[in-house]
Amino acid sequence: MPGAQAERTALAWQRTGVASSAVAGLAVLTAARDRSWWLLGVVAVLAAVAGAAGFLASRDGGRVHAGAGTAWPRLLATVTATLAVAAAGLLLALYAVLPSR
Amino acid sequence: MADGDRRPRSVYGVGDEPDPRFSLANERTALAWVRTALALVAGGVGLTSLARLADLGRGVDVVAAVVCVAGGWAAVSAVLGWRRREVALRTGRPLPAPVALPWLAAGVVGAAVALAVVVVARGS
Repeated sequence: MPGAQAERTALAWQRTGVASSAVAGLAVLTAARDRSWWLLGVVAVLAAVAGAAGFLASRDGGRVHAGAGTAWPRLLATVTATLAVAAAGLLLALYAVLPSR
Repeated sequence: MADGDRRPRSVYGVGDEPDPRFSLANERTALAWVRTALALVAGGVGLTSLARLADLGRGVDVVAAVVCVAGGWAAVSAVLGWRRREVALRTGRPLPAPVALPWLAAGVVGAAVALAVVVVARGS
């Protein structure tokens, strides 16, 4: 395929993968401050899921080519990564709201 | 990849193959929405982290929780929007309007107002 469309798309996948890993790391750092082992464990698992899904989605980004129809599984992986990080963030916020802390 | 192997069938089984540049542009649009969702989640995590550090109270954590949920919703919206647009491209129909965009704007404004109220209430 002529032009830079495939390259731009591959870069967009890589940016998204990096972003999901960065937010996952931020969630783990926040959980580490709370000194609650179960919270840190759950957030770490969610962050690992997000990192793995983000990596799977963004790898082979350079092989994006016309008509491949490869968007769907990678979009699902990316959304899974985002939902995992969102769940980690929600858990962190709710943990802070709990009156029993 | 053979045409019959591509998934989902509800998208690739209808219409004709569009110009690949349009499909790739659609993909990048979906990824932009996902990055917006990640930004919302990062904002929520940042808010709850700040609330812990500065002892800002539970109001900020509630806003953070809502913002994280909004991020999750935006990510799901990204995939649903990609499907709608891809089907429209394949069937030669006009592209659907961005349904999530006004809700996203309203949500950001709402979160900002809620935070302002929490901060003012705490100060007074």
